[in-house]
Amino acid sequence: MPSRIDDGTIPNVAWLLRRIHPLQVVMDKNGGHYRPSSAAFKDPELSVDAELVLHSLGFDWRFSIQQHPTHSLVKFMAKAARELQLPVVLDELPDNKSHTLVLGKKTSGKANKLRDSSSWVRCLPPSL
Amino acid sequence: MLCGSSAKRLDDDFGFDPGLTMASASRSSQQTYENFWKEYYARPRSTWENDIQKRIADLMKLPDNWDGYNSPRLREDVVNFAWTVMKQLMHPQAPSPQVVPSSGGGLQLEWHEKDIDLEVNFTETYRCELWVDDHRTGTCVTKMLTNEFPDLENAILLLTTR
Repeated sequence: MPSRIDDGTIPNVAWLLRRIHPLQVVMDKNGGHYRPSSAAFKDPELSVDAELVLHSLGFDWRFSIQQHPTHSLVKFMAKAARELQLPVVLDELPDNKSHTLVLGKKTSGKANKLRDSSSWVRCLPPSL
Repeated sequence: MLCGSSAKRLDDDFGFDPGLTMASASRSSQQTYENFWKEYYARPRSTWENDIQKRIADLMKLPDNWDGYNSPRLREDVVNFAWTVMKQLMHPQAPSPQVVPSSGGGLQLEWHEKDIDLEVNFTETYRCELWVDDHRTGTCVTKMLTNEFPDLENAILLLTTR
C-alpha cells in the first residue's frame, strides 16, 4: 500500500497528464470548442501521469495514450490540485513509474476548477 | 367628406371592423396566445427524451474499466433515478443535454450554451450534485440534491427560456 501522504515528491510545477475518454469530450457551445467534461475529474482517486517522471525515463505524453489511441489527453499542474486541498501522491505501478494519484473528494466545483486549469495536449473530437 | 364619414361609423357601429382598431388587435392577439399554447403542447414529443434514451442505452453497454482507469460500469438504479428526475423536470422545449459517464461511477448531464454551464451529476439514487455557472450574471451555484429539485428545475427553465 503506497503512502497516501503528499510529501511534495511531485513538485507544484509538474504537469500531470490525464486521459479523456471519447465519451467525456463535450461541445462547449458558449465557447465554440470541445472541452473535457468535468465528469472526467471526479474520481476520488484520480489517476494521472507525472510528466517529469516520464521525461526522466525518456518518455513523453505519448506514453500515456499508447494503450488508448482513441483517447484525448489533458494536462494540469500539481499546484492546481493542491490549491483545491487535493493531495498529489506518486503511486508507481509495475508498468508505469509515473503513475500519480490526485486524492480527495471532487465536488463539481472542484472538478470544474481542475478542468479549468487543464489544457489539451491532444484533443480528438468525439465521433457523432 | 369621406374622412369624416368613416370616423363617424367607427364611433357608432360596434360591428364595424376595418381591421385597424385596437379591439380587433386585442381579440386577435388573445386568440393567437391561446392557440400558441395549444400548439405548443400539441407538438410532437421533444427530442431531448429520445436523445437521452438513446445515449443512455449506449452507455449502459460500457463494461467495467470502460475508461482505462478502473471506473465501474453504470449502475442501472442510478440511471433509472436520473431518468425519472429528468422526465419530471425537463420542459418539452428544453435543449438536449450532453450525457456523460463519470469517472469513478455516476452519470452526468450537462449543457454549455446560452452563456450557461449547467451540470447535474447523479452518483446514487436520491443523490445528485447540481452545478450552475451563469456567465451573464456571474453567479455560480453548487448544491447537493436528494429528493427535492427546485434548483435544478429553475436552472433548466432558465436554459429553456433564455
